[in-house]
Amino acid sequence: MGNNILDALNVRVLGSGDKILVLAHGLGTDQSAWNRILPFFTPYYRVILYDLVFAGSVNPDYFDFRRYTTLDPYVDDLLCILDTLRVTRCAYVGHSLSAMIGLLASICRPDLFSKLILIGASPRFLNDRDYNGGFEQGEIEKVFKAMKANYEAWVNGYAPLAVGADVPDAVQEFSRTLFNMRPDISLFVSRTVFSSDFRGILGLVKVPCCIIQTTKDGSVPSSVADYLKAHLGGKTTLEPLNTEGHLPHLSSPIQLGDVLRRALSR
Amino acid sequence: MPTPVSTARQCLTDEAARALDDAVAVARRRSHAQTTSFHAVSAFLAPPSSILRDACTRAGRSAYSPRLQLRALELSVGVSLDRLPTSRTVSEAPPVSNSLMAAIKRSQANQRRHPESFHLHQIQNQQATSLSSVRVELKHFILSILDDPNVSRVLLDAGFRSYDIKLAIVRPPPPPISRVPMTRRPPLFLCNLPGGDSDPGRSVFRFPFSGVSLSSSDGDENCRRIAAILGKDKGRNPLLVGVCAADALRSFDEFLKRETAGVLPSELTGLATISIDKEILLYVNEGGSEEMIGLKFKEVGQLVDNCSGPGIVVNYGEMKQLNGDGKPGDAVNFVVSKLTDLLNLYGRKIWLIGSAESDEAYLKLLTRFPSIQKDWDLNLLPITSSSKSSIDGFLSKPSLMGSFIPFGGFFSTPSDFSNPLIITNQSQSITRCHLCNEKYEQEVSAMREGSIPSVADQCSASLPPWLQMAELDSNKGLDTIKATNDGLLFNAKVMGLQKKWNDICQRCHHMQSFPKLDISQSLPQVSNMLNLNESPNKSNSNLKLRPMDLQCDSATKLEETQIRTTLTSITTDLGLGTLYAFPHCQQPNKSKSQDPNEKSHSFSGSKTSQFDVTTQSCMKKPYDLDPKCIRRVLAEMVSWQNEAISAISETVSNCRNGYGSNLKGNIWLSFVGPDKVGKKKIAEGLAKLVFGRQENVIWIDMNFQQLDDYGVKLRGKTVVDYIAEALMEKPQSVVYLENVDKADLSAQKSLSYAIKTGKFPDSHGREISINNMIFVVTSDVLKGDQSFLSCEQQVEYSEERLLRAKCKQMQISVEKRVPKDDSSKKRKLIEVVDSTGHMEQHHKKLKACLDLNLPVEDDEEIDGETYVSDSMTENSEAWLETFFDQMDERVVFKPFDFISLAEKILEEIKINFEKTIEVEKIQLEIQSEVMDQLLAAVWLSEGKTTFQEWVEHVLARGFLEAKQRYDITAESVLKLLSCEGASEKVHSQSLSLPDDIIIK
Repeated sequence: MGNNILDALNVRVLGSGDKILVLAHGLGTDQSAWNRILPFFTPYYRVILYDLVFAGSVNPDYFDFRRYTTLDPYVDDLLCILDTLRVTRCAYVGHSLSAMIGLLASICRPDLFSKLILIGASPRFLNDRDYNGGFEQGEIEKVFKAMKANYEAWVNGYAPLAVGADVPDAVQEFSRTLFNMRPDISLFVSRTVFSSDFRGILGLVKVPCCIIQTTKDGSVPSSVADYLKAHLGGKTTLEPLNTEGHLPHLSSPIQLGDVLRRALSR
Repeated sequence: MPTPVSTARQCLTDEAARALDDAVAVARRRSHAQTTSFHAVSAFLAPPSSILRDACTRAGRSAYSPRLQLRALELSVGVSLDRLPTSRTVSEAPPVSNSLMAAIKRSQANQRRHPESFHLHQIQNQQATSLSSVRVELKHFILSILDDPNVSRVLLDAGFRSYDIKLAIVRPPPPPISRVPMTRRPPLFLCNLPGGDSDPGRSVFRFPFSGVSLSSSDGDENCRRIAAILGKDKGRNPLLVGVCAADALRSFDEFLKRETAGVLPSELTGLATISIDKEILLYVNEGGSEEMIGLKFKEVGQLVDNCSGPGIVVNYGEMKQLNGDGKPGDAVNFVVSKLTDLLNLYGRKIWLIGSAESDEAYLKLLTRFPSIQKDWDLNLLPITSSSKSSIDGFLSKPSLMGSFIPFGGFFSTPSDFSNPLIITNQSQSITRCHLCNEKYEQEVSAMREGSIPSVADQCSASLPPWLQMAELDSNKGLDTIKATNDGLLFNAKVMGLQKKWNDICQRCHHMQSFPKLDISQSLPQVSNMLNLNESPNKSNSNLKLRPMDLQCDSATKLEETQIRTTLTSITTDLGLGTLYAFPHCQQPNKSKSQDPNEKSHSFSGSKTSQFDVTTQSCMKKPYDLDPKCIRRVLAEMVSWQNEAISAISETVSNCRNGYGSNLKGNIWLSFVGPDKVGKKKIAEGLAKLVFGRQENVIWIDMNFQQLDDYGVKLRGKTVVDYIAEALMEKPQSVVYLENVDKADLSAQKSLSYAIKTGKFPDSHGREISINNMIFVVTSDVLKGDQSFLSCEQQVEYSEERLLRAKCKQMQISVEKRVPKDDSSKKRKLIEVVDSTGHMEQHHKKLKACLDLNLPVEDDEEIDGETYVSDSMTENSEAWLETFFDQMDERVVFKPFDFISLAEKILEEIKINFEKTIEVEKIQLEIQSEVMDQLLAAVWLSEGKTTFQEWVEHVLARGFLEAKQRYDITAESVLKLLSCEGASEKVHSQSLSLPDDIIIK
């Protein structure tokens, strides 16, 4: 894709500073999710924003159903963007799905990342022996069914649950971006996410990580954060965030911004 | 007056002088009277690889080919040169024009400020051959020529911003790119930007998978990645890691067995596979015979021998088996060594593949066989998803599409779905249209047969000429690949073709809106085109002329016609510090670009008048402030902060002598820790030393909301504006920013910007240039959580409280001692009355009669202290850390030792008390408020002498008077109290003690 990836995925580079920060959004949002966090960083960082290929703001034709069957192609996209921009070292903040993409990317290119910050990350959503991922296979299937049956209704029901905290603005914003996604893509990516399992490879991550975990995250139980901390191979810190929900960057941006800045400056 | 070339050459290093010679030659060839910056730029651009050319290539906008942009630049420089008048009398060496000479001078000054060039400076000083001390290096020479507004304009005409180019010069290219010489790189705009494929380790080639049929299980992402590793030169044996690794391995195995021609690229087609995992499992875990496993390995060997294809993939299965928990180690050793032997024996004809459920299994093996990664040439591949489930998702798609009735007609069916040719290129999510795909296929098949047709021939009919040009270039790019790596030629070419057709397809068929720039042979058109694309934006931004810009304009007296283009460049020029014309700072600014001796003259001339003797001796040559001298002066003012002072003096002296890290000679210091008074005094001392007057300090408390008098000053202004105004008013001063940890977001932003660029932006975006100033930012907070530890240790005498001590009238009262006091505790001669009990009583009394509107001081005190720690939000903490990191020095202040000072004070009073009263066993009680006042007074005053005088004169007189007036017996208690209601004034800087003491 060469240069085109920058256009295709709406890559934006904002702010000034020597250090580079990548903000990568998760499933159901696009780069606008970071808008409320941005002012914290643009004065000190060159912030790279991009849309993942499934985001509603990206031309759906770019979403290749044969290619994006695992998270690895997303990693390729990310690395391609960073290489195109000739980034040689950056800090990376990834939400949810993007947190995992960041982990994979850092395994491939450990020198490229100075630090990973994982917001609402989960190596595996499904429960397993000795592992509480928060979901049972049956529940997931129900969700998929609901998505299939009536996407709009599902979005309207799911958004407040995901946001968790009582922030109508955030719910509205998340509903918007979630609804912007083409339903089939949304479902397809959800399937990819739920079928992925990072547990075996966490030890390969050598880059220092910071896990940000809200007090109550509907998608990620707090045990998962502990699991991550215990298994990640690099120096890892766990930052509890005193707010609820899976999308702290939407629901409590100021709080998250503070924590992020602290984590990054460390 | 133009400068003779020989004089100018003396200011330059050999390299730069050679560049100047080239410029002179250009001027001579064109019979120009003078050598100008244009000639210099033209000379810089002439050689095929030069600093400027490289920088332009890197700074170019991605929208255009840098080659074209460079050509446009050459043209516009040429045009500018054409416009210059030719002189009739052509001199052999046209002298250097004033503007070019100014650029040389600027770069001299600039270089002098850069620490890395300072050694050079000194070396050449020793040689003492040249007129001027610094010889300008080529890099700095170019940088300052780019500052020339005329040059900036020409650059802008070609679509370059001088700022970008300067940045590119200052920042060397990133290593992977620098390996390839810039000039040989094909144009950037046709997808040969180093994208995902620039990483050598990751993706040497990709599979075209051009003939994949739509059967469900092949070509999934995992298989693709595994295959990619197999094709590598190094690290070619994949080890799949992850919970789903075993699944992925299995499906890859199946994929290989089922594999038909065309799925894998030519060099890997016919890859065979053999699984020995069961045998290993049996042998290692269940004690199978060595014979059996040996037989199996022999079989593998035979297979490889007889193999006609590229080789054999040996699947050794789950790595956990090899760990053989509790199993005899020999078996594992045997297997591992056998596998290693296989690799050594057959080399590139054999691959090993295996899986590990988790990284732990792998690490375990690694501890057992530390060299296994190298021996086996392993490549760890994280597998995060089993292929099966995603295929399920994929298959469910068609049914899904039907279910969205509300979106009927909303979705376009993705083109790849109906397309029989799926291109599963790693970097490709944009599929080609049918037409392009066909052409692509033709080319690939043609290439397979060995005949590579000229690309240009093939597409000449349908493509605009500019694309043809680019393609020829991309072919050249392929050729270089051929030269370096023969084995991968085919794949590289396939990849190149893919990319090319993707791109062609995208540009011609998908994105019609893309401007079709017709670049034909007539080159003037090129520059026109670039102009058209550049100018509208530029002129738009220029409409917003700010007052500051206009000022610059008038100052530099630019021609009317040039205003549009030059203004933007001026505002971005860092080097042109003289643009902001402050009447009283112009002198030093100007002198900056001249000789250092001259500068010191101008400094000392303006300063010497009001110095005391010590400072004057230091100030004779302000340019090299001696650290010892600074230390002496500061220590005289603040005797208790020795460590801080020596750190400060080192830094200030270093920075003033040109070692400073900050732009434009500004020095940034952070004073952290307690002792407000010490910090302020040191700031005053610095102002006196460096700027000549103690008053040259701009005091700004960032915690402004707490202070009332700022309310008036700040009315209708933000703090940022307030600072900006102060900076403009007093351009030569110490800027003292107190409580910088309380700075709001906008102030933080401005400060960070200022420290980086040497310009302080106000809230309207105007930038105030700051030169040679000293910024002192203070914070009581040491770091993070330990913030108030230091203060808490000093609960007895807190800084906060002492600073609020008031200048009150004092009184001495004589009372009879209460008998119970006598029995309860041992009497001390002088006692400071316990503050809490006494004060509370005091306040209760007061509250009864005081106006309720007055603030209650007791409460305020508590608030004041808790407030600080609360408001220290984490947000500013993070900012503060990064901000402090950029400082020239972080100076940590020790807490002022109030306890020992209090002891000294009491001792002093005791001596006098005993001397005057002369009666044994008389007790003196000192109210804590009075004690605060005394402490604060000593702390704030210059030295201790004044206090001694006060005790000797005022206090002793008071005691004497009391003695005369009252009959003092051993039973009496003298109390030193402060009078309420008498003159109360808060003195921040100096707290005076009362002239006399009332006796009651």
